[in-house]
Amino acid sequence: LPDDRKQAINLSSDRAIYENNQGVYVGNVSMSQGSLKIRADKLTIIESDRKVEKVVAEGSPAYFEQQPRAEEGVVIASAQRIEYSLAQEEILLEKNASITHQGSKISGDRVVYSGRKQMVIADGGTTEKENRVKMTLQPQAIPDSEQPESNKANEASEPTPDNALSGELR
Amino acid sequence: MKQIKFTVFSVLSAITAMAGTVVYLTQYSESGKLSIVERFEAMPDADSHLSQVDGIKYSRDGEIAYKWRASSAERLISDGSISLQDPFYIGNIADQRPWTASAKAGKLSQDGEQLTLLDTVLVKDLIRQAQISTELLRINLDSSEVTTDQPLTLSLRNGKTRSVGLKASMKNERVELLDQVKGHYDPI
Repeated sequence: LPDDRKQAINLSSDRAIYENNQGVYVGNVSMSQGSLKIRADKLTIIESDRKVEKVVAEGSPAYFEQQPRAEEGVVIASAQRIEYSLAQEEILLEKNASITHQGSKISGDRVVYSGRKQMVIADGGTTEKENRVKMTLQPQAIPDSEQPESNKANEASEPTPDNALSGELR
Repeated sequence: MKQIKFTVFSVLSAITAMAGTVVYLTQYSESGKLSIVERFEAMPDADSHLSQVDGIKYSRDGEIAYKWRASSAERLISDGSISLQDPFYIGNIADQRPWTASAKAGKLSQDGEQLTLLDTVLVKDLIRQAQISTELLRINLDSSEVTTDQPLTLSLRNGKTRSVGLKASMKNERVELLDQVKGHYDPI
């Protein structure tokens, strides 16, 4: 949520190490700040001037969850490495990356999600192993006023077929 | 009648004598010292008592390694260690990054290498702008390594982290919290 960053940060883990202005939390790590939640095997908090600048979560996989806006569903992301830049409100997901929001899902080797711009950039990666970007996009609900008469009649009698758009990109 | 009175009196005095002997043997005979002055409550095991003690330890190259002070210090016969009251320790002075530790009680090992602080231990600036409170802390005075196996609270300007056990090395400014880490931080 927009005011997540004004909320307190709660952290728990098995162990923690402070070194060179970094806090590294290891073992059953969970972090929460408002609607933002991260679960990982290892979490590194990078500070500058005592302010949290970046959070790097690693796991098999690590999970990230946040609700961008009150009226929207929760964004759920997972990857072996998740880098969350607080100032830019950007999440970089690397290795077995996937992000799901309101039924739409994008996965690939590398996915960047910008909460501020509400944009996702997915990349199949450069490894030989084919790691194509896969997308399943849920159709946006069309307001009744814009729907043609025939659709309305069908809708009343039969359930809507699953006409989600899905595809693969290199 | 006179005889009975005599017998009761002698029994009482015998008991009193025996009690006095027992007290003498258990409390005073071993240390050969009889506590006369009310204020001087020396531990039975101590062979010397110092008040308002200030100490400086120099490193091999002549720099000040650390400073310490205590409201009182007693050297113990049993193991040669020094028992401290209200110890205060300032470490890492040579590297211009001093940190401090204080407590209600402490013990300096016989070889002078291990300082154990006990009861309301407060550590400042081991991590910059942070304060650590616990009930027991061991400081290796030679390697500047600090450890505890007790619960502790690490307080920073905008929050606290609690854990059980700590291992810190001043040499490479690294602090490890060993178990059950829980942190709560307000946004700055």
